[in-house]
Amino acid sequence: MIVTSQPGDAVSSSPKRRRVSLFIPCLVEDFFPEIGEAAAVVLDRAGVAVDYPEAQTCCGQLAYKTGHRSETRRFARHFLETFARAEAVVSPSGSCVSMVKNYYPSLLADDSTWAQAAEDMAGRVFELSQYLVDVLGLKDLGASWPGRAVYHDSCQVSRALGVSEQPQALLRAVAGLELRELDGADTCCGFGGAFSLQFPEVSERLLDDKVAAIEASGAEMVVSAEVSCLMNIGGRLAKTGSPVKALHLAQVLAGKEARS
Amino acid sequence: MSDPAREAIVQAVSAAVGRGQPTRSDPDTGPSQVAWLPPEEDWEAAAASLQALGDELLVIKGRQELAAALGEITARHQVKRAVRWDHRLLRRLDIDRLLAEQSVDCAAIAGEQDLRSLAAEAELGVTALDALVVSTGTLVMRGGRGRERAVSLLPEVHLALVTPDRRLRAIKDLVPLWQQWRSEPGGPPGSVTLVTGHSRTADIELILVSGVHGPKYIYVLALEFPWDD
Amino acid sequence: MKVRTDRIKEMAAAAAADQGLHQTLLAAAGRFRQLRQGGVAAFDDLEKARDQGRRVKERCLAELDRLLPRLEKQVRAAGGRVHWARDAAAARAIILGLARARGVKRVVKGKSMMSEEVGLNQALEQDGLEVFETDLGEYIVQLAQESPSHILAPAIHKNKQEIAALFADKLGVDYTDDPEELTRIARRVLRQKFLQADMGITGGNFAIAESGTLALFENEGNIRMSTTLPRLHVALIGIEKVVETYRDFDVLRKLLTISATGQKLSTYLSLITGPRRDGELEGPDEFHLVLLDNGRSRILADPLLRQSLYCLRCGACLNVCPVYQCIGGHSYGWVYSGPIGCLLNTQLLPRGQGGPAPFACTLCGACAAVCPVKIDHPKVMLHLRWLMAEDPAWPLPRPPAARLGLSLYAWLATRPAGFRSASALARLLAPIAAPGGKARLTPPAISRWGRTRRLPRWQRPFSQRWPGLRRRLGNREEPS
Ligand code: SF4
Ligand code: SF4
Repeated sequence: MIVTSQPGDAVSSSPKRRRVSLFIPCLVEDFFPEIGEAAAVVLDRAGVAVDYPEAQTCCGQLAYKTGHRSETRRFARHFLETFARAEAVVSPSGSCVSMVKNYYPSLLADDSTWAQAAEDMAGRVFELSQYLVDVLGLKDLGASWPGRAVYHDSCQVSRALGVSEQPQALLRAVAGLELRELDGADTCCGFGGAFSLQFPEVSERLLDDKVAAIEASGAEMVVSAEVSCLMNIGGRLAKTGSPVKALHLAQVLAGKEARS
Repeated sequence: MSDPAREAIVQAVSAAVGRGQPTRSDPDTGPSQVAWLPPEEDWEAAAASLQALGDELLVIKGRQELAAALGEITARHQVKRAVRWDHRLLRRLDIDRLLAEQSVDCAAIAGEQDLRSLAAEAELGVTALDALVVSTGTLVMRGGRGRERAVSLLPEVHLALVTPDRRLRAIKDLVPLWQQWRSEPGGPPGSVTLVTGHSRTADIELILVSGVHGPKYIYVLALEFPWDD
Repeated sequence: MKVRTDRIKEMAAAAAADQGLHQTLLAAAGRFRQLRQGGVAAFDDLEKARDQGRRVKERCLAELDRLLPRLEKQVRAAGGRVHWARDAAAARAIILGLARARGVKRVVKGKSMMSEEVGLNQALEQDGLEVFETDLGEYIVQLAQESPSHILAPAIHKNKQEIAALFADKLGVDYTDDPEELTRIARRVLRQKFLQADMGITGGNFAIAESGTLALFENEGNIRMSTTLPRLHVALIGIEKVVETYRDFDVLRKLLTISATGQKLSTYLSLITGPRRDGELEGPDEFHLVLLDNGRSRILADPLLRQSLYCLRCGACLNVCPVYQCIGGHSYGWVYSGPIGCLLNTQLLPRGQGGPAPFACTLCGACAAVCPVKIDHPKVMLHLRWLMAEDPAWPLPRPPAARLGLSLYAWLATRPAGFRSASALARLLAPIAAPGGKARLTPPAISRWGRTRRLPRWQRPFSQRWPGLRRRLGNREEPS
């Protein structure tokens, strides 16, 4: 192990190893742990020291997006406390990153204890591909995954975070992977959190449109950087017995070995 | 004349915006001179813009050509009656006589009754232009006595005459022109109409159809000869 | 217009089941997107223009208490009259009063959302007046006794066969489903109405305070007719439509037409300042401008909600909204639809009457990405959800069980062990709560979800896998 320099030391001669703290959203924790594992493997392979603060719970997105701000503040404070010492926080879920980055600061703006921490955190929380490409400057992670793929340009990644090019650049560098155009790639898959429960018919219609576009593309897999879209799209593909697989970007980048 | 609704609304708005920090408008940095295009510039840009809209610009180099163009247009659309603005340019060119040679009955609108009967029955309306925006093919017309809006609206064919000194590059160049009009003694014109292409709709299955309420055809005649002698 | 916003869920469900409607809406939205895209491609620096547009609206609304009296003064100076209406009823009363006092019998109307907002047609008709919508789409919708379903294409929900049957039935013409023919028929019928009408009623896209000028955009010519031929012209606008100068107007007008249809300018733009002047042969003898508040000053007071009033009604957000394209305009249950409808219906109607509109949205952000004045719809949507959930002035009835569940969830937020045991408990219950099986413990919404998608399975959680995974990683961080 390289011994890291003291904070404040010049880093020019021996670059300090970067450290990230993994932020594993609740959907990943309970239902898609293999995505979390893949994210850890990918970051590790990129030469980053990875830790996992075990006190983490949930970003509170569900409460926030149904209007419950007072409850969400509890989540926000807990999150900031848990990740207070993290150099960078990285998560394989765009919507959770967006929650922390885009909404915590205003949510805690009037909280004299936490306002500053929320502001600071917004500058050091990253979606996985954003971290790999924008912070580390990587594109080719030496991954290999043969097959035809399309990229679902999830709303919470592309529009909420402005991250669209990064994951696609990473995918293009994957050996054997043919990245195809997806018609309406950045159109919503119909999930929308509580929306899919409150407006199920609409959600299903949008999902069917998305699945139809994926199938029309001739792809064998649909890749996304957002776990909730994958749960939605993958759930539909599985239910209809489609051969198309829904995969998280991290899984593809980790290579087949990371599948459990 | 105190109107309680007025007081209530202005007060509510005032309370809502909260006074104290008067915001200022962006400094008026635009040109104050109207940027007329040089008269010697050609008509290609304007012709292309009108063509893109499905309309036509014809460059007219003399009175003969004018008569010929009128002949062709009136024949193409089987025009029998025409109305026109009571405008110096049109009088000078003696449009009534030129049209009469084509057996088209043309007159300026003389009274209100005329407006309803003539303009409604005529197949052709003839106006001049206060400005032509070449990048968009936009016809700019002030309203007023002798410049009736109905002439460019009710007949199926609109014919507009323009001289080379009345051209602007872009719609934003109308800003100084508008400011000039506004500072005239009578204040801003009662009406200014901008026409960019002929009347159209896509309200039925998004299929484009021409000539819903206004004219179906527009011709702009660009006068490239000394007409004022 | 009848308020049915409380039924948005049912109407949305019914619309979503209508495959034909969905296809029509998709095609229409696709066409508008294409038109906009074409215009945007040729547009020089749209981003800069959007920022400029946003700034103009910000400034003009911040100055609104000064601009309104200034507008009034200028309209009067040009010989027009200004009326102030606090709510829909007041607006109806003003216009009805004018019609009665002037012995008006026939009214022609230009397309106006405002008139829908105050329910003007019904009020005029009840008073015995003949009212004709004259925009082709609006005319079709009026003949069918329906309401518009799209800001730009009011009759987008009807196909040409339906329109053909409607014309044959209501106008007594021979059946034809040729759009050219149908348009010609409408032109002929409406031309007579224009010539006979005593009053023209329009909305207005902008009102320029410095000169008292009303700006009206259109492609058909019916608004020109309505503002030229009848002896009275009444324009009904919301107070938020006021801009300060012609230059401000110039910034917004290009954003409006590009965003709506990709046009650099609509076919017609009428700039109207007062009624006919002395010696002129045409134009209305009287020009009346009705300024409507109807909840707008209340929206103005909230710094975050205020942006809802920046809307130019270009319709671009509708054409990118996945939900709108699925459920159509009518499902929203009131005048406005799509993303901006979710915001405006909720705020313009009395509190509590807007229904769950802000929840009819996946927060996908497609709307905000195209809005010419950079309204952040998802942000406003979330703000409204918050007000509805937590502000007693915005009631949204909520079952106590949901409330309790939420409190529990939040309580667990700060207790990782508790959070994990709660998910462990759920894991334990999962087999008996499985949808399709003895699903008594599964909430109905979840089991509905599970009917169309395979529900994810509980796995050994990441937190339990981490110690093992950590040992496999090469770049382990030494514990400090
Ligand atoms: S909200 Fe924005 S995009 Fe939607 S209609 Fe209004 S101005 Fe257009
Ligand atoms: S954010 Fe909501 S309103 Fe906006 S486009 Fe997406 S679903 Fe429609």
